[in-house]
Amino acid sequence: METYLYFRKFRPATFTHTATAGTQNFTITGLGTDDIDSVTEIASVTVTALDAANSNIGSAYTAISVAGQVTSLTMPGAIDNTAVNNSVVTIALMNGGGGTEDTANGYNLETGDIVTVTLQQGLETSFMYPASSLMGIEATATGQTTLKFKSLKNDATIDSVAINHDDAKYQEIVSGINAVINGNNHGGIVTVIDGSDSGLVLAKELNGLGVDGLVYAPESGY
Amino acid sequence: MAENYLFFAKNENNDADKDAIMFPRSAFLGAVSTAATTLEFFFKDREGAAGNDDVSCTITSGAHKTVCGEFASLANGNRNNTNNFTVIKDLNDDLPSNEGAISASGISDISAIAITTS
Repeated sequence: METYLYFRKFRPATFTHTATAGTQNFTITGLGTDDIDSVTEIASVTVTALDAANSNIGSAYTAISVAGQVTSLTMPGAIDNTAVNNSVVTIALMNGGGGTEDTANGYNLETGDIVTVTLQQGLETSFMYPASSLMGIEATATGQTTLKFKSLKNDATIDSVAINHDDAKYQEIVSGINAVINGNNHGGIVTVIDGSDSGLVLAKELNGLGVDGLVYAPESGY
Repeated sequence: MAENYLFFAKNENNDADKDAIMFPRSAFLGAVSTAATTLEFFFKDREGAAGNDDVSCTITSGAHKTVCGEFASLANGNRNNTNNFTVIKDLNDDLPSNEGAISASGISDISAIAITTS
């Protein structure tokens, strides 16, 4: 009977940012050191207006008439895939972009506007490997242990899953993974690490080791 | 223990290239989310070529873990006195008249399938 190892990256359910006029980008945090690089991870983005004075929003939106008005940004449009890189999200300008603005879907942020990003499952946020694909476990840095799996795409490299944890816990991580795979208490799928929605679900064999990050590096992108 | 064989079929007639495919469980390499509603299963290439085979499934939004769990359960199923033919998902609803229906339809959260082989 095969054991299947399930992982999901560290991601908050939502992320909020208080804007400053003239700055359209911001960095999403709380990601367990694995950046967001795909717009597929973003379910929606809203802007809550500080006041009713902002007229620099795209024609696709209802004009702001009251403080606290919430506008749901168009995706793609206000945010496309090139606007999400290394966890930095950039909202398109409605005007003043020197020719790069989006007059329909852009939104010029003003100081005090609240941007709320709702995250979802997206490109490479979760993955599952059969235990038989595990090739080895390596101490790759202080406080980091990396699992190497046979690659999904078979291009002569391997897939890696780096786990960040308290220093000097390599042996305990290895022992825990061994117990997950060879223990009699699991059948079928085992959630090894699930850091979604700002929560953390760990296989009980990894409890107490300070697991606080997960970085997935498949041998090639999808 | 006999090996399970994992079957996928698109909503077609099982009579054209990549309408359906079956892999032994031991060929399964893993699965990865590619979007909110897609999950891709990878298997060892059947011809030993560079690049593996994959089955990309459209699923209920956010149901990746549920689908992975059901896949694991089906793949691990040990049914005595059967032929170990395991339907992961069969979307066929228009089979040729000379082809009998398969009794199980598989994982309910899967609504579409795309098969890619090298």
